Amino acid sequence: MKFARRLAISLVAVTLAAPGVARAQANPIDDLIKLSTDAFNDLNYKKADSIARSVLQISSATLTQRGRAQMVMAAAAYPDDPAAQKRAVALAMLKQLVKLNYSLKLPQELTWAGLDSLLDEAKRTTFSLQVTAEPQQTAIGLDGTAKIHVKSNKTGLFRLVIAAKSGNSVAVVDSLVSVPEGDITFKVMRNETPIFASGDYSITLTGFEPGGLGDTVTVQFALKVDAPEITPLTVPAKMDSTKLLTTRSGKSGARSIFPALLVGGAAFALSSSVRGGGNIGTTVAADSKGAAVGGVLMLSTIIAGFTDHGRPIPANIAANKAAGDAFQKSIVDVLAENRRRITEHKTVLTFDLEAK
Amino acid sequence: MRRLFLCTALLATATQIAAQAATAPATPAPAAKAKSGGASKAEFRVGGFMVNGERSYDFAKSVKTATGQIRGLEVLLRAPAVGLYFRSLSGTFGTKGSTTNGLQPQIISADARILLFQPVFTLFGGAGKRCLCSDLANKVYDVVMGGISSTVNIGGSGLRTHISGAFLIAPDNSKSTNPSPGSKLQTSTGLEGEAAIFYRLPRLPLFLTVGYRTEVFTGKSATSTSPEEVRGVRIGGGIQFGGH
Repeated sequence: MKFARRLAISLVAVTLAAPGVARAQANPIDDLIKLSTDAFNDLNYKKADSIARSVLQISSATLTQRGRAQMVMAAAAYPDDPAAQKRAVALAMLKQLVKLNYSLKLPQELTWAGLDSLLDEAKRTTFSLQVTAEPQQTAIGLDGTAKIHVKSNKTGLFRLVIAAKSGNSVAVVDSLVSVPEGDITFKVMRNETPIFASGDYSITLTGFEPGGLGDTVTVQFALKVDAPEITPLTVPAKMDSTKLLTTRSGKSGARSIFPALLVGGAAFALSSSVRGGGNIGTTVAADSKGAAVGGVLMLSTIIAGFTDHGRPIPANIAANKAAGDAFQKSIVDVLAENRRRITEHKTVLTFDLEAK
Repeated sequence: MRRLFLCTALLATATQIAAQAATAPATPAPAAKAKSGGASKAEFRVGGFMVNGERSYDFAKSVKTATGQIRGLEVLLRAPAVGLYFRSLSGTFGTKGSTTNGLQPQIISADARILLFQPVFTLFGGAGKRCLCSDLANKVYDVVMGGISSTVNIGGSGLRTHISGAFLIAPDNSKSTNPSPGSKLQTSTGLEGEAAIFYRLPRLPLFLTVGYRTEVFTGKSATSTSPEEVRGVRIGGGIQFGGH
């Protein structure tokens, strides 16, 4: 018997070591399970148990395969033959199975009325937890969520922990209280930041049966997340003032003196030097008002020049306004783009309930 | 005549220097520089003015002077490099019956000018009519004129200086409404000059102006030469759009 078990494990190991061959043939673990089932049907309970146990030692065996192997073990421990019955062993094995699958049904080829009764007893006395989820879920934006369905045969407290496999940093902790069945829904963004980075995560869902003697069931499975990093654009802090144009021309100041002299001098010259023909220029005196007016013109011009603040340059004012508007728009655009990147951010969660 | 040419040449040179002095940019190479000291944009101006002054004329070696007023209306339409200017004047000097300030013929004139080049240095030419109107006779001259003017903005203060000088000529077709038989007409000439400042109110399209104006004219006929001189302080105001 030992030899047969060793041989089986060796065969499986060799087969698994050659993936190409494994793909071409049926799954070797399934073959082992079938082998153990056949042994059970041949009433060779020890051999069936031995081969089924060997399946549990294979780390790559899935939960389903492990469950099938455990069913064979339970059946081999409680066959129809009273002499071969080990009730306690079978019940313990069934309780293990029922813990993670309340709706468990034994295959027809393995069960009989007595074993079904034992299964019913296991269901009555075991705190069971079943976890299901859509294999692939896509959550978009701030309100995007993913969902895991929890079902138990009793009211309990269910606690979900999602942790990254690398670094063990906990991403999500959530819980469901005082219900036998429900959804644990969790968001994929927190404070406008993705909770998950792309990578592998481990989900641990623990069910606590209420009461002092309550049982605890823990289910672990894998989660793969594909969530691109959000890289926000930098919001411009302030305008580059060096690019702003001068909005006024320079003050006139001393530059007004020459035009002032010119206009004042011209007024004076018009009153004193531009004279009529004939005897007018010699008979009629120069107009003294011309000098006064010239002085007024000159002084007014100089005062205006020195109190001048420069002339507005409409083209530059418009250019600065356009630059300001463009700056404001760039802020709005950047904020909108950043917002869009958040609201349209996509997180794809792939749940693998078979893998730990 | 020589005086006219000298005045014109001096005015041309001075206005260029004045414009450069008033407009040298204070900041280095802005994207759009403030335009020249002269009005830089299209301009529309309608205004009235009044010249308080005196008119002197020489008749048969006897000079007579009377005080009075000229009232006028002017309209300016100009783009940066070209413009049109219309003006009409009506002046009355002296008082009827006065021995010291005797009534003189009314001066009525109207002219239109085409302005070329920038306001800071403008050459203009035009034509008009000038009439010495009295109860006895109306002497009407068809006047052709040419001259130079300069308008310089004093920064953004709203003030601008304006000087102009023009030579007037009334060709042989000058006529009198009451000509003497067999008279032979002569060419009449004159000069006109103005120096003024214009102030545009900050937020209203209104302007005020004050300055000095002199006009000399020598009307000639076959039998006589009539020199005259009209001068005085010019004040006015009106509506102005653009030009700064």
